[in-house]
Amino acid sequence: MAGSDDVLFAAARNGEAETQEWTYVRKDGTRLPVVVTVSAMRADDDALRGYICIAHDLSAQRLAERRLALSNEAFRKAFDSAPVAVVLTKTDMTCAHANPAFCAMTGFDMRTLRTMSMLDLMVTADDDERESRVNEYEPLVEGHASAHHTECRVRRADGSSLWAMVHTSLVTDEDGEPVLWVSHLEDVTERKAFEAASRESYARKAEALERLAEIDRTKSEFVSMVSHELRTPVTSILGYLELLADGDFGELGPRQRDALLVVQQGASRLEYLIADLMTLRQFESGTPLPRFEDKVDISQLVQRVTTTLVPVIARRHHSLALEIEDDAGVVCGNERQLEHVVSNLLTNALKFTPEGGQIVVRARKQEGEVVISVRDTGVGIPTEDLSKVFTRFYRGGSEEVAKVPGTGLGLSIVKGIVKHHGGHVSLESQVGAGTTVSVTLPRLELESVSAAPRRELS
Amino acid sequence: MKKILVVEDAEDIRELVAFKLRGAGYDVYTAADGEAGVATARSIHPDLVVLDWMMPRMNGLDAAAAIRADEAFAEVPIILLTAKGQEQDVQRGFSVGVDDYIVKPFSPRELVSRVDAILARARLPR
Repeated sequence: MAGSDDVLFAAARNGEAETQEWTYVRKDGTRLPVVVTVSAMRADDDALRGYICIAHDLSAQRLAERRLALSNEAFRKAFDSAPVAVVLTKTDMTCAHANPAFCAMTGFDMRTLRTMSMLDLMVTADDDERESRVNEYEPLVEGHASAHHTECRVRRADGSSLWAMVHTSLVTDEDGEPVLWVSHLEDVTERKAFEAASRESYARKAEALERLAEIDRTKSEFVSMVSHELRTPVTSILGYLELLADGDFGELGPRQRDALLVVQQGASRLEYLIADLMTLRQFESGTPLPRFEDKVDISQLVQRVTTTLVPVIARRHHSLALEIEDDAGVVCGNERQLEHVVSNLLTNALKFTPEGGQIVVRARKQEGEVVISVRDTGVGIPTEDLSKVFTRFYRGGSEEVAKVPGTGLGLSIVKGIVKHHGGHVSLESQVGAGTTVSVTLPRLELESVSAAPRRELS
Repeated sequence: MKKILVVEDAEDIRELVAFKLRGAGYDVYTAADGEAGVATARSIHPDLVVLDWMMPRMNGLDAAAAIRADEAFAEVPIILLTAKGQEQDVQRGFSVGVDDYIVKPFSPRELVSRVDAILARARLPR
């Protein structure tokens, strides 16, 4: 301190307080920054009697300042080297600062950005959209939200634009007044393009599906209309044929009788076709079919249906083997439909087996189920066609099959009925060796058949 | 002679049924739609009515309900001619008082035997 009295106390001598930053040296030699205030002490006669020195230790403040500088440096580095575009916007919407990633994304340099309103970077369809987008930030200003996330189109210096996901938060002062907007921008142009493409492709597929559904509806309506319109003439034809055959219009000669038989057979086939179409339409219509609760004894049913076909089997010189267990089981369902199933399987076997073949009809029980199967030594079905046989109107491609009359509806109806009864159909076949079709149906337990009232069966 | 009313819009089928029933010894009256059928029923008081289901103006089911609503016909047997695929609706038919139904295409012979059977049953004291 020596030798600088004049300098140090000059102001104090002039009646002012003197404040200066000094560095003190402690006894142990360490230094500390201080701020020293010096005032003069005077007697009543204004004579200078001494000085008062007050020294404040500044080391804490210096440390805080150094920390702040470090923090600023860390922020600047984080800001400048961030791969994400960041922009700081003043409350008047001019750009306070933007990082290099932001400049690279938008193509504007820092100098140009400082002259622009950040609102001018936003691409909007019209003023209404612009206003509503600006209003989205209101909750941040009101303090109701801490951040706002939105997708928005951003203008580039070259006139092009990009889609950005913008995350914005607001820096406020101690009174809660807005000071600075901080926005992070993520380029989502590619994702948006991908989404748009997916949406378009989805829309195209949906449209194609709708078109297919429409075609299917039209087809169903057509089938329904045709079968309905055919029913009236078929009723007339079959009715009048019966009158003719019964001799209601006079006795017929043998040749007339033969001719009538041919017409009757043709008309019957037409009737079956219409009936099949109607049954299929019912299964397809999706309207819930009534639950039938006939208790059908499968052994009796298979026996009965087979018996009615014995004349046809004999005419084609087939040998018939029946392997029907006496109590194969009882099935809850519609007896007429189940008869249709068995007769369809048998008719198929007869039709597709060359004369002198062998037909085996089986009915047996297994765990909780009844299995009905019909095996023939017929033409068989090629492996690649096995999955198609349940398709409507499918008929085998071979010449032998083409010669056999039929509509290709039989098995799809069988499948529909069996499915409606909670069962399933399976098929094994080998070309030239024969086919086995098996129908499995859920069996009613014997106790419930004999003892349980109907309501427990449904 | 028992009076039978046949209500059917298809002329061929109407005549076919009428012919067969006349041959079986019945006095047959015909109508071509539901409304005419109900009116004819009121004027001739038939012993049995054969009603087609699908008809213009008034269908068979509504006609059956209209006939049943008339006290004088509370007991007259009604046979409904239905189409395949409508069997589940037959339950509705029974609920409005239909006695029997026959699915088209049907055998005229079968229709006559049903009519005979129902009228034989109707003769028994209830």
